[in-house]
Amino acid sequence: MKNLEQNNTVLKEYEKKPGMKRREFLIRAGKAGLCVAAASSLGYYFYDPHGPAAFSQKENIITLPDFSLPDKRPVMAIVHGTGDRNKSLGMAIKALGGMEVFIKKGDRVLLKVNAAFASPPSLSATTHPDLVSETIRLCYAAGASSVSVTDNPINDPATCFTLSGIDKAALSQGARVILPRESLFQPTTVSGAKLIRSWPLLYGPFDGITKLIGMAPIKDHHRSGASMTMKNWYGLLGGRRNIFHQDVHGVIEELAMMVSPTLVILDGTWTMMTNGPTGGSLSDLKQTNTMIVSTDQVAADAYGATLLGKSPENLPHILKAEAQGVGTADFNSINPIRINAG
Amino acid sequence: MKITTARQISQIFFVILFLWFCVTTTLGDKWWQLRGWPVNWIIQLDPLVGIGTLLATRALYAGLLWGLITVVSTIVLGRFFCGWVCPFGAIHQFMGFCGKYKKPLKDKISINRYSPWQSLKYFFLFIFLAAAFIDLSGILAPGNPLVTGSLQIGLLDPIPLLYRSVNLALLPLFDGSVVHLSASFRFYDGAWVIGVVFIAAMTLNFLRPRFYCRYICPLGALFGILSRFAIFRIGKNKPECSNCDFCEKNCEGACSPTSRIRVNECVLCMNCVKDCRHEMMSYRKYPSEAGERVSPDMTRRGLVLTLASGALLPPMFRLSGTTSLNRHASLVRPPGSIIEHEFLKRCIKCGQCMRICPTNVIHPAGFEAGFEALWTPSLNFRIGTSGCQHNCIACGNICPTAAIRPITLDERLGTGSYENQGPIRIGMAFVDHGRCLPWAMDLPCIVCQENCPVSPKAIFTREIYQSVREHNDIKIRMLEKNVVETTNKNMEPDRFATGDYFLKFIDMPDLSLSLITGNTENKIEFTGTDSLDKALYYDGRAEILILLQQPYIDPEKCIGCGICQHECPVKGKRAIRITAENESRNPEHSFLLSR
Amino acid sequence: MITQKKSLEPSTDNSETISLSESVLSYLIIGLLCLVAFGVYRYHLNFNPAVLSLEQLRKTPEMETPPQNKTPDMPLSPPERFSVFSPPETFDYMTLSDKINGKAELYLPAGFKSLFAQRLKPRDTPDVWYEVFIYDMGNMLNAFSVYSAQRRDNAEPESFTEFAYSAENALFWVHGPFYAEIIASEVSDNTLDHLLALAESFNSQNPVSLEPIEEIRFFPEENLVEHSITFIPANAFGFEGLDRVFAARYRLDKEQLTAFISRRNSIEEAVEKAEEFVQFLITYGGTEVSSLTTGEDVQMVDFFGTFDAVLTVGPYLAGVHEASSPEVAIKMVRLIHEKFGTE
Repeated sequence: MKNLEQNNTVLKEYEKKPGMKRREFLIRAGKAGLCVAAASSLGYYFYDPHGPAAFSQKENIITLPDFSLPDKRPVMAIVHGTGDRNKSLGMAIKALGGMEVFIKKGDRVLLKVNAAFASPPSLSATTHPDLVSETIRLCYAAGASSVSVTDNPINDPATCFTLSGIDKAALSQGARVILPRESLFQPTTVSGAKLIRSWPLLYGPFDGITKLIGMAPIKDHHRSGASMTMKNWYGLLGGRRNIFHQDVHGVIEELAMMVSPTLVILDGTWTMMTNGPTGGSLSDLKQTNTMIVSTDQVAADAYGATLLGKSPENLPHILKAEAQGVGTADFNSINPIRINAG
Repeated sequence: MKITTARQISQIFFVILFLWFCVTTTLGDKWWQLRGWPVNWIIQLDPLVGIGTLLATRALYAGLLWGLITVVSTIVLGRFFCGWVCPFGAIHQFMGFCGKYKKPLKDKISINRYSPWQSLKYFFLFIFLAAAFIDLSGILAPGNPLVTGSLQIGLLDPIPLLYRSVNLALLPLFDGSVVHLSASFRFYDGAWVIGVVFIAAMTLNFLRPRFYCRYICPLGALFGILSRFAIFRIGKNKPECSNCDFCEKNCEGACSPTSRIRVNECVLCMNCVKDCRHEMMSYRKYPSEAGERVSPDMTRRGLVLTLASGALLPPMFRLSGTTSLNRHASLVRPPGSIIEHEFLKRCIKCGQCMRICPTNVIHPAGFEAGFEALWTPSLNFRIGTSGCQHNCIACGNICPTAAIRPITLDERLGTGSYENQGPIRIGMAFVDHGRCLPWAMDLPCIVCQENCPVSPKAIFTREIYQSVREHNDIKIRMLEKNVVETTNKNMEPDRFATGDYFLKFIDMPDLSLSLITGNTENKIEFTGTDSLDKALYYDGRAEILILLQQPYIDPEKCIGCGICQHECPVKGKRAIRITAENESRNPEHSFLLSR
Repeated sequence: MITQKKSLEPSTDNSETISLSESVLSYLIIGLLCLVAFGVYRYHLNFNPAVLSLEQLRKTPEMETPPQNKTPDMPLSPPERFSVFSPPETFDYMTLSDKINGKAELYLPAGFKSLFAQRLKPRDTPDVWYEVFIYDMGNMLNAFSVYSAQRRDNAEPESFTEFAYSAENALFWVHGPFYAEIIASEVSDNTLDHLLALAESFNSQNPVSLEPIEEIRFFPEENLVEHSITFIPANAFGFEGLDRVFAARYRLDKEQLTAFISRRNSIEEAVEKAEEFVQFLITYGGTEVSSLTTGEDVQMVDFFGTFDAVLTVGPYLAGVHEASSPEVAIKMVRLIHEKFGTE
């Protein structure tokens, strides 16, 4: 037990000799001087005459990088006629030139799925696990060095990823599921936006990512009319994001401005026609057997709306996003490749 | 002049100065009111406040730079602050003097003996410093809700403690009756605890003089550490003396001047210099000839243990979630307060904001908002003379550590350069439909709407007509021009003359309601409608309706000032209450989309 | 026990052992405390922003109280026909004599407030200039007093306002609390024209409530020497107690005398004042004339050959000064009394 008192006994020696006394004094004075200097410099260095700012200025406001292909060519493939998701996805991707067009060797891919609810895949409230596993497979086949899957669910994340089957699907193909946690969120501001300003974004999973694919089922939505690829990005927001439901079309518009994906996959195999976004009854679903793959999320949503029996006029967020230059609502103008799988 | 006389004068000077500051912490421009009196100066001189906030926030705020002077002077001179400046110490010294008055010499000597318990204050000091510094001033784990610093020095630091005790527990006993600093009595919720702590500290001096200074005071501990290399220290002039122990009979610091003097405990009271009959003691450049000690009785292991315990405390406090999800709804902070987790790094619980608040709405919080928030400011709108006044910026401009920022009137009101941001909101009002008179009791009242200070008002009303219970089916005996005669004589005369009551003819539903201007037991007088101007006999039914204006809150305009809550006539549990929704200081608590 | 205690307690007188350095240090510390106190006091003069905003709020809701008696900076702005020849000058109580020298003694005790002076040139005859003097005397009585005190003989009354007269090169008049003069540098054909134009311009630019001076109408019109009514603010006829006196000259039966009227605050005061005046004259050598001659209500004093008489009518004090004979004095007094009766 090293007693701090040890110092004290040593001092007594110096008292005896006058010269030593002087020396002790000078050493002590020197130490005192150093302390004064240290205290003063600390004081002046940290001196803050103004006090804290109104809001704790968070460090960096980040912006998502643009993951779209350099040529920015809007393309779309629509496959009708089959309920086999693997098949319809494969055909759609092939029609667009194959996954290699989008995923290059060494790419690190992030799949933004809809795992919002802890619902079984049959309710079509979440991205279907078959779609997830097939997409991962295609990515790896195209040379991706890593594939991760993420979402910030509404319900408890672990349960959502499990019960929706996405977790299992991802792991089966060797992809990583990144569950949200507080440290993965960072504030973002969408330039020109009114709502998404300094808002927590699930940014952590984007670390090192080079390609982004959004995957969403076609669903009716009680508040916004529909939930498709643009609304899918809502799952990247953190904080008390339900506040945005007060201006839901506005926020979807800004979400579309915020994210520029490489590709979006809109699954219209079983469309949730009513009672969205949670659905719950199989009678809410209609088997429309359609798979839409596009680089233009606005066009994809505009086409998906038709499966819901709606049009862009019913869904203001589509027109708003188009007005912001995110894409075009007139999907025919981008000459979608239509395939009938028979 | 004896040096001890100078010390006594100095102590009295600072006590009077402190009391003067307490008196003038009253908002106003008279000479005995705030003006520009530097009422926080003694807090600013306290380096523990400066160091605590520096460790917690990586900044030394404005006036706290004064603490540097104290630090530098202590490094050179020793614990002069304890013996000469600290008003709390002066009070303890006086109480101790009373305690040992007329005690025999040997008793006086024995109660001034050094006790190993005097190391306790060093433990307190290190616990507090560790708690403030655990996240390395905000560098480590930003955003982590558990690993953040927490400033708890205010609990035991003597200067904030003294300010708090005098301002919240002692002064209000006299204010409003003996002196008239405030317009009315001032109440402080929970002040009894503060008062009891103060009284306890006072009375413990009868057990041991300067009990608090010797055993508890973390500021004294800090000075003890700083005085290690002091240029001057008390000491013996010769190695051997007669050991009469006279020096110890009035030794304030219990620092064993007769043997190896403990420099870190010596408060420079100079009593030993005065009392020694043999001119042995002096304040000198060289260490005492009889030897000295400079370090507290603390082992390295003990130090590490203390630091670790201190570091663990804030995360443990945060486990209750009071700074995030489990935040207490009724914790309404003063306008200009910074976001909660930063607030708890700055508030030293000095009570200045509570003292200056002209309407007496700021109160020391209890444990409801977590242990850390004990004695931090919380608004209670039932107490006081009004809500939080719309045009007042006093609390922020008096907070010594900027836990409440020094806002301008423009920022408070959302005018001038702050027009885009809008006014500062501290909460939101909610109408309790079960208690509000027009909602629940069919009684007209719009006191809240009348008193809402913002323009346009944040409380608006919607009118409904409600049937008056015993008079919803009146049989008309005769109707003549503007008077209805009823068959029953059950009306209280003039009850319906207040201007809130209307007559409805049930059998003529298309007729608009007529305002009742007077009534007797069986007659109702009203302002006629055109078609009833002619005298006629009529046999039908009527109903008396009361017009009620029911208050609603406009969330875009409500700033949570609490004036409505204060004015609400339902005095028990108010029918309109403020909770900390939508407070500006935390964007996450926003109720609405920010426009 | 007691002895033991005694031996343990030392003698407490340590005064001789206080070293110089200890004393010096102690006093230095006291000095430091004084500095602290002084510093705190000085610091308290920069008000806390919370106090400043409180004061700011107190001031804004109230309208700024308009200052009383705002003397217009430019009581006369030059009319169209004139151009400015020299910059306007203003003088107050202290500086009046800088402009009018000794004459200030006439104005200063008469309630003088300020003088505005400026020279103007008529556009049609630019060789001439006119200097305008506007004296703000505070109230009309004061203005009238300085006006009437300076009234020149051979004055030509002007009709544009109640009290005005002109000379060949000048115009003098009273306008409410103002006494005004315009002096021309040269006389020409259109001098009066210019003078009247400027006067009228000033009057219209400074509307005042023109209260008729009450006392004046009690002076009988017959035998009144025209425009001889003057106002004596104080020390009338050498008597200190006699103030606020209107005096007018009369020619009665080929003899000159002065009649005077003064309004007192009450009937009692009028009676008192009359008595005082009579006593004053007697004290300085006058002899009272018997009331058998004068009549009960009139008091008369023979003052070395001239006769002064006083009577009171209600609160008014009226009388005659320096009449050459008692008969004419009584006659005048009766005329005044009559006039009071008819008004």
